Amino acid sequence: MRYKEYVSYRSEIAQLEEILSEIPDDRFIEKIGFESRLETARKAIEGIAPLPSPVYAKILFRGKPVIDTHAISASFATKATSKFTEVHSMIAASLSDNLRYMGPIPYKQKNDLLLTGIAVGSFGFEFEIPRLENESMLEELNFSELTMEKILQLFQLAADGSDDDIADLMTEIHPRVLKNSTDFLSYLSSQDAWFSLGFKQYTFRYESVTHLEQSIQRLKEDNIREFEKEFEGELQGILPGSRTFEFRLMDKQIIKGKVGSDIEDIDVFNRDFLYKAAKIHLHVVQYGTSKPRYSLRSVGDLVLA
Amino acid sequence: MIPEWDRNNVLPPIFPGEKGYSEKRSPYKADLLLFVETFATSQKRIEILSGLLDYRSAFHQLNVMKGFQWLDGSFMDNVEITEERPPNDIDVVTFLHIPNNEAQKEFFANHRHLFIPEETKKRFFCRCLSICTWTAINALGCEMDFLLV
Repeated sequence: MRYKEYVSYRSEIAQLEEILSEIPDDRFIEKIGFESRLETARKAIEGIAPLPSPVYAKILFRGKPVIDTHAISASFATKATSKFTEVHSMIAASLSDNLRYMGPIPYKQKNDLLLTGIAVGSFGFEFEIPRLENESMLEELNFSELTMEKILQLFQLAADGSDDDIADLMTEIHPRVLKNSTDFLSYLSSQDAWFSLGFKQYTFRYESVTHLEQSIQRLKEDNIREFEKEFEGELQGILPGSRTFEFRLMDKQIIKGKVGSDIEDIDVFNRDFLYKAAKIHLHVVQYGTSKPRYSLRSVGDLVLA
Repeated sequence: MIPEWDRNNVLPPIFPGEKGYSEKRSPYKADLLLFVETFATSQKRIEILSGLLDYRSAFHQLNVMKGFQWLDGSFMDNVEITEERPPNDIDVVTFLHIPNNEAQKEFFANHRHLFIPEETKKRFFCRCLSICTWTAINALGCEMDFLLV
């Protein structure tokens, strides 16, 4: 049962109980209808555990395809919303370490946003953030909410953050996400449109299409340098939860990086390479003028010296 | 007068063409003949309307001559379009004056088939949502007329 339906029943029950309490006992016939309805409402939610309140996100579009609060181009709205939901699915897959460099987006349907209404303000849409079935209701932030926060963070940093901020975020999300996000922004730019995104107490807003285009420039592939580099030293360890590694170089400098999501068994590194002289082949990503970010993409990229 | 369904396939809240503060608004007062003529548009609807007439007739036989009814539910919408199905029943709220000053409890006990929603639905295709006795019905002085919600 959807949350709104459950709350509606609870509200109806409370109202009916109040009405019945005000009808004198001798007004027997008048009570019957209300009592019958009360019984129906109680039965409808019998045995149903209290549901968590759903969380919503709101995207508002502005620019050429939007006519005040009156209307929005149907073809634009369809395409823009579709690209936005794809960004969401991709970030969700990336955060759960399921996103590969190519191929379909895993669990796309499970992470799909639910379009629940029109958002007022300019013209846009309201999305309900889905809660996965096995997610604990006691968790402060569910997975889909975390995904939406990352989306907000991505666009906010792309617009106003430093290169290092973006580089930090890029260590958490898959490079495919960046391309996807740029596609979404580029489409909006091509339609002379921009948007704002609201979620819980957070709101991010592009002020103009020029502002949006600045983000595209920052996220463009030619602002990102990617290359391979080999180092010699010793593996200090890999943390299983965060999949972060530390590698001490010959000059005692420590390189920190991430183990790529394509590597399923990371224990092998701690088992076979810990504190042993080794050569490590790393994928390096440098965003703008930020510090380089390192990732270990294959088991074979770490060999004993 | 009963307005036509609007573009949302429901009765409009205010009569078309009227100003927002007009009194020609829902619930629309209508007499039986007009109501039947307007909504007897399919076999299923005719069946439900016959049930409603039988329901009202049952009250008349008990000498209930003063009151009115609100009618609502999917019967009052163009549910054939919105949900691609015929209506199943009609929702009814009845305001009536119990004759002979009978006590409510006795009146109910003697005629419960007119007051229990499951019973009225089964017998008359009328989902009896509520029945209200109306001691001040003389103020309107109306017979068993009814209003549309």
